[in-house]
Amino acid sequence: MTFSIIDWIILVAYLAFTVGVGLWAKRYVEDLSGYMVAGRRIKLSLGIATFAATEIGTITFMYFSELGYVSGFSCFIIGILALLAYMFVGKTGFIIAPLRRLEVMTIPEFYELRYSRNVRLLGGIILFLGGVLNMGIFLKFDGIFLSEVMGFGSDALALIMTLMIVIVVLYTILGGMFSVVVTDYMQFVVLSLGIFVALIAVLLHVDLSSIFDAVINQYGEAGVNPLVNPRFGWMFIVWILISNIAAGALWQPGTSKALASENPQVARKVFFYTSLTFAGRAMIPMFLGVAALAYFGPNESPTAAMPKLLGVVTPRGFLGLLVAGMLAASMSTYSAYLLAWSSVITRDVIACLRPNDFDERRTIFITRIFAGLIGLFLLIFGLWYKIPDTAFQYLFITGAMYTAGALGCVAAGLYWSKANNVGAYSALGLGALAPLLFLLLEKSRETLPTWLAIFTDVNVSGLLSFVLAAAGMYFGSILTQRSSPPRPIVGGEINE
Amino acid sequence: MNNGVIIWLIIFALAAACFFVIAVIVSIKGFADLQDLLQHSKHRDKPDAKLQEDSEKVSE
Repeated sequence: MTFSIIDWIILVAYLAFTVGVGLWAKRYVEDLSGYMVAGRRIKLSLGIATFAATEIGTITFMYFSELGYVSGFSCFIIGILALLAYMFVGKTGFIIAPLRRLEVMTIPEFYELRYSRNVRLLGGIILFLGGVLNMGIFLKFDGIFLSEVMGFGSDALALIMTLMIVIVVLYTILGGMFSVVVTDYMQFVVLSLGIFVALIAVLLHVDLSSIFDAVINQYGEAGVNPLVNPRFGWMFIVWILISNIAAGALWQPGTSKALASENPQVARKVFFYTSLTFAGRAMIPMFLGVAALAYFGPNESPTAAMPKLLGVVTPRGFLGLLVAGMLAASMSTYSAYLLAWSSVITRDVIACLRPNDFDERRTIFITRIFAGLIGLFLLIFGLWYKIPDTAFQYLFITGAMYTAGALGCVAAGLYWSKANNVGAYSALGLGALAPLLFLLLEKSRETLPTWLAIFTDVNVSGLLSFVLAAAGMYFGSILTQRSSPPRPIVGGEINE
Repeated sequence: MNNGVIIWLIIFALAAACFFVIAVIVSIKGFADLQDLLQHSKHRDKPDAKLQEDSEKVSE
C-alpha cells in the first residue's frame, strides 16, 4: 500500500468536508428551478469553475491517459479539436444562447416547444439511455484509478466504487444544483491543485527525452502524426470535431451549466473561457499516459499505467492531495451527471406520459429517486461490463447515440424554419442507429458479413450517426411539409 | 529530436499553462461569485418570509 497516514488524513478530511458542504447547500433549494438550475443565478467565474469541474473527472484522466499510452503524442489532436469546438459554441452562442433565452431546464423541453410532446418523449428516452450508458463505465475507471494509486490492487475495486457512489448520490439527491455548484467550485480548486501536483511529480521523475524516445521507438511516425495513426485519420478528426460541437451545445450535464447562467451573454462567456482549458484538460492526462509508457515500457495495462505511475512518483502527503483532487473531479462529474439524467427521465419521460404535469414537489421527489436508481445501475454495470477497445471510443460512441439526433433536431429547430415533426423523429431515430449497431455488433466482429462489419469501425459509426441524423432531418422535413407543417416555437423567440 | 515532437511539446506547454492560469483566476473570482449566489439566495428568502409574516398578520 502506497498511502501514508498523512495521505489518509487529507483524504478523509476532504471527503467529510465535501459531504458536509453538499448537504449544507440543501437549504438554498427553494423550488424546482433552484433544484435543477440553481435559480439561474450563476455568474461567470463560478460558471466556468462548475462547467470545467463537470467536464473533468477521474474518468477523463483515465481515458485520455489510456489514449496517450496506446497512441503517443498523435492523440493530442483531440485536445485541439475540443478547444476549437467549445470556442466556436462560446463565441457564436450556437444553440446555448437561444436555449438559455427560452429558459428550458433540459434539452428535450425544447423538442416540445418546437415540435411536439411525443418528440420530447422520444428525445428524452434516447438522451437518458445514451447518457446513462455513457456514464456506465465512469465508476469502474475511477475505482481502477484509486485502487492503483493507493496501492490496494483490484481486490478493493468494488468497495471503493460503492463508497464513492454512496457519497455522491447522497448530496446530489438532497441538494440538487445548489449542492452541485457549491461542491463543484471546491472540487475545481482541489482538482486543479491535484493535477498540478501530478504533473510536477511526473516531470521530476520521467525525463522528457525518454518520453520522446519511447513514443518514437514504439509508434514511429504514427506516434506524432494523427493522420497516419490507424486509430485516427481524417474521418476520426471530422467526427470528433462535430461531436465536440454537439456535445458542447447539447450534452445535458454541461449545457445545464449554461442554462443555469444568469443570462445568455454569461452562458456564452462561460463556454468561451472554459474552452481555453479544454486543450489542457485533454493533453495533461495524455502526457501522463505517454510518460507512463516511457516509465514502464509497452507491456503494462494501458488503463492502469498512469495511476500506477502516479502511485510510484508522487511523494507521500502529496499523494493524499492528488487522490483528493481526483476524487473531487469524479464527484463533481457524477453529481452533475446524476442530476442531469434524473432530471431528464423525470421531466421529459415520466411527466410526458401523464396527461397533467407533476407539481414541483413531486418532480423533485421523483428526480431524487431516479438519482439513487442511476447510482445503483452504475455500480452494477461498472462491475460487469467489458469496454470495447478504448474508453474514449466507448464514451464518444454512446454520446453520439444522443448528440447526433439532438444536433439535427435542436440546430434545425432553432435555425431552419422548415424543420418539422417527421424530420425530428427521423433525426433522433437515425442518429441513434449507427452507434447502437456498433454496440450490438462489435463483440462479434469476426463473424459478420462485410456490409455489417463496417459498423464495427467506431470512426465510421460515429461519423455516420451525424450524417444520418442530418439527412433524416432534411429529407424527413422537406418531404412532409404539407402533411406535417412546421410549427413556430411555443413560448419564445427562436432566433437571437 | 523529431519536429513533430517539438511542435506537440510547445502546444502541450501552452495548453497546460492556459489551464492553470484560468484555474487560478477562476478559483479567486469564483469564490466571490459563490458568496454572491448564496447571499442572493438568502436575500430572496427574507422578503418571502416577511411577506408571509405580513399576510399572517393581515389575516389575523
